[in-house]
Amino acid sequence: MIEIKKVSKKFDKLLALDSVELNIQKGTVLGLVGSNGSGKSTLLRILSGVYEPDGGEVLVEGKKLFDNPYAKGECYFVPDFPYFYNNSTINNTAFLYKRLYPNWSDSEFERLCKAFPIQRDARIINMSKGMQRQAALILALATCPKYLFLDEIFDGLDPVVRQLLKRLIIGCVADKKMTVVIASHNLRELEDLCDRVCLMHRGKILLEREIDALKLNLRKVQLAFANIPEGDNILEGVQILNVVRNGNIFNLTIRGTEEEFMPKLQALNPLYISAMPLTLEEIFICEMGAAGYDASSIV
Amino acid sequence: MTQAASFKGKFKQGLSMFKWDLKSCSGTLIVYGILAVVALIIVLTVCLVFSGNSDISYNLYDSEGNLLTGAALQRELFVSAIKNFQDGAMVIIGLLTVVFTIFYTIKIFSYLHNKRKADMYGSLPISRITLYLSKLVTAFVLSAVPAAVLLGIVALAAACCGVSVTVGMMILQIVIGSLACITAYGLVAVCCGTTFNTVVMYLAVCISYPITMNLVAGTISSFFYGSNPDAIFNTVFINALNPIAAYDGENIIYWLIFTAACVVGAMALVRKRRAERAQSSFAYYLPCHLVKVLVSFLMGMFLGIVFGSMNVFGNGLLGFIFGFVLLSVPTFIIAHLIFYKGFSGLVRTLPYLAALVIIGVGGMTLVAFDVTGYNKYLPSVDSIQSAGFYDASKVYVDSEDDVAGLIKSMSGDFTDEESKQAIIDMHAQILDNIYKDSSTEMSEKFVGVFGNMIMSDTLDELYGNSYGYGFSYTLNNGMTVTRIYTMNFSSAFFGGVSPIDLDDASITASPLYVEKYSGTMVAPDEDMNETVVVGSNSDGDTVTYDILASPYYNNGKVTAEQKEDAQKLREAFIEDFKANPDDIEKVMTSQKYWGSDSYYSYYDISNGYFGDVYDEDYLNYCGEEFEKAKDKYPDIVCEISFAFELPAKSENPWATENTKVEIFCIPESYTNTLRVLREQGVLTVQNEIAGGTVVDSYDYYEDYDEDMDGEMI
Repeated sequence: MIEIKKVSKKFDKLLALDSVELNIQKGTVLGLVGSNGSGKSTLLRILSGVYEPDGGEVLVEGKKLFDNPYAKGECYFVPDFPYFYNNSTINNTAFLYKRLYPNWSDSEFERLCKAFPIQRDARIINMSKGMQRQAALILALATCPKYLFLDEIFDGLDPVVRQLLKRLIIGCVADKKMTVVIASHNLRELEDLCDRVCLMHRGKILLEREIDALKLNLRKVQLAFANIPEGDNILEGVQILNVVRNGNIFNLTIRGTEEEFMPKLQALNPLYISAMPLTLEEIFICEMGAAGYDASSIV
Repeated sequence: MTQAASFKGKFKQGLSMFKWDLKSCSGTLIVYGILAVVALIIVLTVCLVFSGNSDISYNLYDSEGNLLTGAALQRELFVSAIKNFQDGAMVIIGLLTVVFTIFYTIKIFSYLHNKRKADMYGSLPISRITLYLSKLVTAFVLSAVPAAVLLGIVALAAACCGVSVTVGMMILQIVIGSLACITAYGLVAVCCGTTFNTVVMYLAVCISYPITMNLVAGTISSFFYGSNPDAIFNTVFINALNPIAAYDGENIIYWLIFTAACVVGAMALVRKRRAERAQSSFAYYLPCHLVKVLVSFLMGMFLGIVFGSMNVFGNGLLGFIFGFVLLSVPTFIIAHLIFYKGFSGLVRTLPYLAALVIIGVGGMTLVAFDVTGYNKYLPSVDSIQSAGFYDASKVYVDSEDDVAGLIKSMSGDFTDEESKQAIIDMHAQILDNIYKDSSTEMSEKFVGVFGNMIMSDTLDELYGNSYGYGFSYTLNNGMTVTRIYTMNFSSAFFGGVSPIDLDDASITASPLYVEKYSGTMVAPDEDMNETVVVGSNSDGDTVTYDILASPYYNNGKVTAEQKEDAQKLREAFIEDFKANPDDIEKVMTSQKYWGSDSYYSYYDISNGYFGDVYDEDYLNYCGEEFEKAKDKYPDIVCEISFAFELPAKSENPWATENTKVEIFCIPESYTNTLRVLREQGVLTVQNEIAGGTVVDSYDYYEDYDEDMDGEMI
């Protein structure tokens, strides 16, 4: 389990993380989503021991992570731009990792090298961006980490490799109880992979919950009236996050379960009513809009 | 969390990182190896061709002075070629190692200056200190081991050829130099956020610091006349923060301490270093401020001293202040712009600039006005327990001797009131000479700063300069005060102080002084290179008789018998000198000691040649002085000159050797000396010289002049 306790991080005058509190249970896949500059990558770097928090602490299985090689041996961080030396190949990088990571598995390494369509002796620096990501992932998964931190991992990966990666991660989580934290703007991919999602904005966590619960708690509702009921606020009592009206047709985003809001809407005698779950991207836009971060407010 | 926090675990991690870094630097290492091997082959070829060619080599002699020919000559030429190859190899390997050490070190420590590398290394399961140490070791091994291996091969080759190995010290120099340079760069790298700033800061310190210290030392020497410049110029402080100087192989203990301090400092800083400072200007700001101050101080001092020398505003000090402020302030700002790529943080660092200006201007003002009264210090007889006096021309000093220490140790020599007063009076004469002169002008002192820097080895001048004097006093409170005055090039040409000859015979011709400080009494046997007796022959002519003659002027032949004879004579003289202290006046009648440097005053008493052809007085010295001495003391039988080779430490670029000559008149009471001379066949029973060369003929001198100028003088 990872415990993040009131973690703050400042870069000169910029407060990148502001008293972030979060617990990440073992064997879960947490998606970190948020606006640009919300602190996702900074949080990942603190989790992986690259940065030291200015305030608060991060505990991995009860131990501080920063400059603790033994705790870090159970973790692996794939940054958004992985670094490789000019003459690095998968094989010679594996030479180092094999000696540094206590859980390194040669068999896993061999399996992964076969699974990913990549040359082991080619210079990684000469590979395409997607291939470099694959190289980083092979090395990451071969270390058999208990905690895997991935930053924008889907960037540059083709759909086939994305599927492969997701399968591999799900397999590791299922088989080895690996804990994965993924920061990404690719919400579609996270939706398939994550158990929980954490939404960040301006260095703070706006929400953190299971993805199913999140989806369950927000609904897209289309409401059509033959005649719109009279009254100043016909939707009073329903927690509406967004309304788009097109004549007699209302497209609503409502917080709450169908059991909570459907009786109230039915009471308005609509001609047509339907409720659907939101996609993660729609949830993201909706929640960010509620936090004052939407396209219209930016433009 | 399966691993134990053991040293073994850390060592294994460090070793893995070390191996990995070695692989990543293998390309650079191969380039080094190829360059080094090719350069060594070129040097070997050149040495074998030029040193081994008898047509273009000088004549070579064996230890007995015989000209070598045939196989012996070929062997000697080969030995010479291999020796030259070793010298060339040391230069080539040394230069390549210094250059490649910079490459390796920059590459290896760039992990601190790149955000992507910081991500990679920061997340690896290895502690920051272990990682840093492994990087240090990698850089050191890459620098020192290939050089040591190559030099080892050169040494092995030389040993196999039966030639003495001379590259051994170079290996130590490279090890110490690499250690100091790598650890210093590593410390700077931890403090900086970019490789550019690291390299600039490192070079700024390596270059600015020694120049600044030389300026400071020059200022002290110039403004504190009589101070011991050796304490500053020739100490470790001059290069204390310039690790490149460690390649000299001197002050090894200091450089080991320096290395340890850099490692410990870097370990303390790297642990808490903020990884996010990669690609920022600095991770720790204090070193940057200090470097800015150092460079600004250097530039300010430079222009200040130039303006002070030019007497800008009609006052040297005002000129200095104007120049100091004029250049130090913009230098500080420019250095800030270079390091920070902009003005950010400049205001915060202004207190450093203010401190620099206050200390620079204030310090120089205090120094210029001699607020401590250092320059004109002269003790009274009552205030001292004892006094000592050093005359460079009359004290035998070996190159390894600590002259300043010797002068200090002399403070207990003379305790009687008369001698103390004589020493103080001579000191007063020196001060009068200085302060009646224009050197007391402020601008002249600023001129002297550069002069002292250019000719910084003031004490070296004492070895071969007859115008060097030292005074030391043991005060009543037990403290020792020393003052050292030399009329070296800087003083003569830049400081405006003219030489003064002190009449110091009352001190230097005393038994105590001769016994403690003359070459005849203290020099090692092997340094004695000439022994000549001057006296009268049966015809009444003044003649010289070589007992031990200079090999340079005698076809290189000095026999073991000659050496033995000279040594016996010297021992007999010492015995007589100690047994007859009352004859000191007679013995020292003709005493002249030369700190002679071949260009200025080489006096080869064996053949009457005196190097300074314009000084005709000395041409007739042997004869005239001996005759004068004999007129004064009829019981003087002869004069003996003992000459001692001094290590060539003169600044004079034309000097090829230094010889100190000591001449003693031998009275009849020196029975042991006279007996030895008779036994050796030099003197007859009538105390006349048997054979020898009549002084007036000057054969060698005429030959020499004919060769050089084609005409007789």
